[in-house]
Amino acid sequence: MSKTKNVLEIRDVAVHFGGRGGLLGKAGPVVKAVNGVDLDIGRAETVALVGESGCGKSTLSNTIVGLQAPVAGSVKISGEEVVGADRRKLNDIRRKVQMIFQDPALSLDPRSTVGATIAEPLIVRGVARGKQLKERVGTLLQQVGLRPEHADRYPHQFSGGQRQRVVIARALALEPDLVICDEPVSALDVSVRAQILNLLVALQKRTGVSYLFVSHDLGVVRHICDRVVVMYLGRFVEMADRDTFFANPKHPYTRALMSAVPEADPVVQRSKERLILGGELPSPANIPSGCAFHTRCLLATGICSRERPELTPRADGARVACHHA
Amino acid sequence: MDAAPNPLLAVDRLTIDIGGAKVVDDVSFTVAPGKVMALVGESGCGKSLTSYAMLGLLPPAARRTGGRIMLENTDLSAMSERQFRKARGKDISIIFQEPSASLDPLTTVGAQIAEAYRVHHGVSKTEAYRKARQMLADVGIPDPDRRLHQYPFELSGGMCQRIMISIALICGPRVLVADEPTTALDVTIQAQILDLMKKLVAERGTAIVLITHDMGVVADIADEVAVMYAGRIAEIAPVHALFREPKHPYTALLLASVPKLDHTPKADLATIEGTVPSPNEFGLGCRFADRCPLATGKCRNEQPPLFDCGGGHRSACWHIDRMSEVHEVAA
Repeated sequence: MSKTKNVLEIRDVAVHFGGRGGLLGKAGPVVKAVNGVDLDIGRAETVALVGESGCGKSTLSNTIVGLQAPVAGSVKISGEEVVGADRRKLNDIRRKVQMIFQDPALSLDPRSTVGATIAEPLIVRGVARGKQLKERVGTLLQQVGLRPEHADRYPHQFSGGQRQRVVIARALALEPDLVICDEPVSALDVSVRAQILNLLVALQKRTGVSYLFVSHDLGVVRHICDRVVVMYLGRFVEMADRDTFFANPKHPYTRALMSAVPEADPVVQRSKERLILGGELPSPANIPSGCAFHTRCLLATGICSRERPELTPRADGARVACHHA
Repeated sequence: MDAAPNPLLAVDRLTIDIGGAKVVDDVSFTVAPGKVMALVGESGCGKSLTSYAMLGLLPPAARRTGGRIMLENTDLSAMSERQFRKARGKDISIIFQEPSASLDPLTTVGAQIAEAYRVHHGVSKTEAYRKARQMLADVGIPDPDRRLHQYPFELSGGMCQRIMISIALICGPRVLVADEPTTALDVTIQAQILDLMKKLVAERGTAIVLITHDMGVVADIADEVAVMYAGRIAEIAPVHALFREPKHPYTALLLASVPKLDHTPKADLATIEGTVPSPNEFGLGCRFADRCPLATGKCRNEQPPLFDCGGGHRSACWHIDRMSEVHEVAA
């Protein structure tokens, strides 16, 4: 076994698409979806990955579970290298990392009972069979707040929140070290979101599982995460501990994001500083020179379009990629 | 506070029936010019059906069985489809959640905006395009001359929603129904669209009926809020009063379940146990009773009317005087 404490170690990972075999042999545009990122996640830690559509967060998630090969860099899960691993090795590593997606209705097979769905990874890995398997499924259902007798029901017999519980039970079946939660509560009704968030927190306390929590809802992020990473056009622009991050956001993009998320309190919301970003996210096939954010940034000067700022540590421990922050 | 101007739109005891179940039951509210009324609730609460009824867009299975919808002196609910075709776009318009699904992919956006104007005004194409160009500039689309001749797939989601707003507003309707207009958009784009809607309301005096489940959006833009639960209005109040002192247990728990800035991270959030009843499970009493911490026998047997709490604040709860108990549960 590896001695490392981190369940995830990413070094200088880049994922590009296209560029070869275009029409008539001409090279097409290269989409640089992820462009040199480093990230560690410790045991029982929750790290939020925040960014807008097209920033590369889904590509990065897929790379971590080995569904997408990077063009460069290293991804280690509990000390084991994912990049370049052969099929058997990859299969082995994959039991340590699981994913939960946004819409539980799309993640479950409508023609399988939820019992069969949860049992499948246990059968595939030869973890349990027969009576033992049934008991294990029952325990998992109880862990997520359902009842063992629910095993015989089909997904359509459950509400959205209950379905997400089933998805969580399946993700936990093999006792993974890391679960990637891709907007796990965005598709759920407000009153149900709180139930699922409470469940995720309770399960982490009990099992020590780590989460990479992909979300754009900063209220949820603040509630559930220990650390926050902000991504813009394939790169990390800010990383900090939760309290530092929310007390003193530094990157102009982070500050614009925070001001854009409406607070569920009319007094706070209507008096807060407004930094409405102009324009839209540039195409990842045509990333602006220098700092990729300079085309929309309120602080941008000449240097920003020429030199790309590196992530540099600040006095309070945050790391920020900005010439002016 | 300003005195409330005369209402422009009045929904009066609206009841909509699907297969014998009252999926919208006795819903009343009014909206004044230049004001934003938010209809808030979870999936299945009837907020979308209520808004579709205003435009004569109810699905075939749904039937209005009671109540009226008045736009000033016109009874929208008594209109024939023929009359509605004249009113939609001109007097009352709607924008939907998914702009790319609402636009015709095979027609330039300029043609789609111009069409909306020509249908109601019968002007020349050149004149309609001139109007469309002006409208694009009004909704903050840079380089409108080029955009007019582009197709929806060439535009981003935020741009497409601006096109939808252009189509909805080009004939200057007095009421705009916005059904989750920013749910499909990124937050920075959502902020742009909400600001645009605020600007239009202020400049044109358009009344907006905003359908949403996002309490943050409500806090940002609404003047008044109607919280719906299982087809009924649970509580209706001016926005500040509703957030400061909710007078229905459902609203209070809903607000408490949203993580706020002063909440201790990872501490349990308030939850509402159970799920929304389906229409065939609606009982005699309060539809929230099975999930309510205050429920008594009376709640299960007798439907509470909307009690007036003063200041335009009304709540359909038998136990408004015991709300402090809910605030304890929620804290």
